[in-house]
Amino acid sequence: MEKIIEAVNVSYIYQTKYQKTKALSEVSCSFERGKVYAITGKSGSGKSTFLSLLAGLDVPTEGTLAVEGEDMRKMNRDAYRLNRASVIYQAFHLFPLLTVMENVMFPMELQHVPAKEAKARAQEYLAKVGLPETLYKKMPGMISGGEQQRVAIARAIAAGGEILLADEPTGNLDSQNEKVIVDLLCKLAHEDNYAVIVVTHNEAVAAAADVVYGMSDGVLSVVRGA
Amino acid sequence: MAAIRNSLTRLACTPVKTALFFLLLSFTVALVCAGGNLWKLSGDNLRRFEEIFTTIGTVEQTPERMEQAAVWYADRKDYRYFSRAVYGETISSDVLDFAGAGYLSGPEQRAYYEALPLDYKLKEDEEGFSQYIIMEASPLVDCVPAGPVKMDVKRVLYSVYPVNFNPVNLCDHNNEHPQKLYADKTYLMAVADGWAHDFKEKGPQATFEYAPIEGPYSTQADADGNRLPTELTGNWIVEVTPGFYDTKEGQDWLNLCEEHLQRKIHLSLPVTATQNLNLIMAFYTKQAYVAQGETFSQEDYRQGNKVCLVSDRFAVRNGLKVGDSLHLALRYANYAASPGRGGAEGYLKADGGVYEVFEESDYTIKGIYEVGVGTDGDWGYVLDRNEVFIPAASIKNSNADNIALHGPMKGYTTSFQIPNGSESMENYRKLWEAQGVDHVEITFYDGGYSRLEGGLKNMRTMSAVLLTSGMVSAVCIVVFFCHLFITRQRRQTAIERGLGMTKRQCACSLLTGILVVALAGSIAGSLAGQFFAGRAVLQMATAETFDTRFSNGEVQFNMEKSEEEMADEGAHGNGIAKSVYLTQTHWQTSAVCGGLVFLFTMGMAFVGIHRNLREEPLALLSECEK
Repeated sequence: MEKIIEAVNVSYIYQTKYQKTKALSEVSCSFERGKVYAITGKSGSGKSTFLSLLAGLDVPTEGTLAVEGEDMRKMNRDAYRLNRASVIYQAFHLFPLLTVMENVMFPMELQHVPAKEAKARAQEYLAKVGLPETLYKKMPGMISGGEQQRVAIARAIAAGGEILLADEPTGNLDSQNEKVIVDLLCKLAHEDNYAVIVVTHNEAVAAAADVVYGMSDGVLSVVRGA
Repeated sequence: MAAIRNSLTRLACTPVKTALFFLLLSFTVALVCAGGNLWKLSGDNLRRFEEIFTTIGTVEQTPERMEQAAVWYADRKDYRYFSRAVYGETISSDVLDFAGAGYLSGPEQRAYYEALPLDYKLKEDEEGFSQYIIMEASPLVDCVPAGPVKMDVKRVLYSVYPVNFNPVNLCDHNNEHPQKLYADKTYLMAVADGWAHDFKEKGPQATFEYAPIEGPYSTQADADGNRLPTELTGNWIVEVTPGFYDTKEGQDWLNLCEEHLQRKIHLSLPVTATQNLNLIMAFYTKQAYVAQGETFSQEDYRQGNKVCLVSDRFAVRNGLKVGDSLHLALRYANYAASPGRGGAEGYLKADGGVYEVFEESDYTIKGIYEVGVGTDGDWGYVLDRNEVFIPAASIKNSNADNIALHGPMKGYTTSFQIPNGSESMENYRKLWEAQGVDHVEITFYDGGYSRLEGGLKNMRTMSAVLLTSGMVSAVCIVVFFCHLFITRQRRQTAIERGLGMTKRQCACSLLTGILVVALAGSIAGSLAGQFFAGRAVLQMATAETFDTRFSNGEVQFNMEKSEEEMADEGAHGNGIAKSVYLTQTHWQTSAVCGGLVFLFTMGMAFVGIHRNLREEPLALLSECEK
């Protein structure tokens, strides 16, 4: 399998006026297309920080984080997030004032995709995540949590990237919806060749992953499958 | 584009919040604009009035007491009584020189000068004067002139009109105990006509009499205003004995004749020297104003340029125009009266001599003044029809030996100018009272400035309140709504960042909405503020009108009148009630006020956006989830 992201000795230090906190310590790992990765660990262990770095929202203090061999520091990280990597959140974070369809079309509008094409593609992605057509014109607040998360996943893949980063994607869902979302993520990895990286406390999610990393005090270790 | 659309959608989806922001911002901008406009207008008006108006004080020495005086009237065989002011020692105008007075001009106790009339025509014709004769005469029979007695005129030394009748009737009209006159003696006297014992019965057909009215006397004073001692007898009737004209008294009588010859039928050219024309009440009230040419410049006053202002009547009578030369030969000064009132000076010097010309120059006529509607009050304030004005400093020679009369300060002889405003007057009053000078009364004239200033100060206070409350509420509203529209959109910003929007796009997304509302609110508020300020100032201006006839700035305001106003004035008589305020609000002021609030809003928005974009999106969203 082809490595899409590779972290080599990645460290990250939060620096405030009064103190320095080492959130990540010499993390080395790699991620491939077509696999689901789970990163587990306690709160404050550094999981979300690592996910931020993977999303290009920040850069490592030390070490190298490369996307297909290109150092994250040197690349346009806004374009990276727009075109190649998308983030799915525990609380879905849809735009509450846009309809389901508009939410999914939003990243394509940023990419200047013509409205007609964007609409067609949005319908395709919403169908792919299994959302009924009757909900397309609803506002996010009017649909269930599981449905919102499916819209969030559709929005994530609408940008056309190959990396899906998920921060506790099932944290706000019941077990039935949890299973639906986990299956959907696995399907995207295994059938559509996405690299899916999930930060989670949930054992069921971890169990469904192809590779499981554990994070403790900023140190990453392999739990299973690497 | 998506960012902008998203931003505008957010606005549309929160209509109450958006409308509230728009309305409140419009309201505060309106307050700021109204306050700003009123503040500027009140400032402009104050400056305008400061330039137009002047505040002068007139000074009057008040009498120590009034006493009853009696004058004998021979035709009634009784006294007539009148009140007469008794002044103590003459108080010098130097008492007005005290620290902190803050004079802009003066104080001056003005002299008016008698100038030789030369060939100038001072009256339209030479008719209409009282006959005045200095003559030698003898009674036809021994008599006491307590009533009319016949006098044989032996010799006329001086007369206004030729004396072509003889004998004449004489009555020592105002003397209860006249001296006895003998038919074999000759007497010298200065007499005037105008009395008649039988006037009541016969009217114009009455037998008119001459009465002695003066003798050689002097009121000459020194530079400090002290009356010089004199040996002139002042006798009204004296016996002419052989060699009389070789005596001192005879010589004095001849000098009196000489004086009258120089003056030409009672007339001389009155010249008033001043350091500021505004100190002359007639000019101050604009009763008199320069109609042709121009008034004195500050340089004229300072340098003492040989320039003068003449009355239109004098100019017409003598064919003079602006730029022509006027020859002035000044003989003596009168510090006690004004030309309009006339002096009670003795015409001779203390030694009995005739006053010689002490200053003689050609003056260029700089302006010709007209005298409009008269004012009530003391005659001293009324200008003489021939009065000439010159800068005080243009008199280079000392007049110390040529002061014919000095007396207490009068409102029409003594005045000064201080800065405008009730505070200035109050301050002067306090300092003056602290001097502890009795029997001096100061009256201020400000042409209505205090009233206008009071109105404008109220307006300024009102505008300051509006401006301050507008600014405070603008700050509160902008901060509150920036919090709602920006700081509370941190989550939105974090999502947008997560989706790959650049910081610039996120800033645009946040800013567009607030920019649109703030711009609309600022424009609407500016227009409303300007409108309300205009209405307010117009209302105040309508309430505060006054008659331009008595305005300190009449000429100025006349120049500003529209054709309609002039026509209206023509139809309704002289002078109309007219507002003197500038009432035009300026769009620039509104633009500046609205622009400032808009810029402040944008500034606050930028600060909020900057803080939003500093947040780490994932950490923030995780925080939100928790």
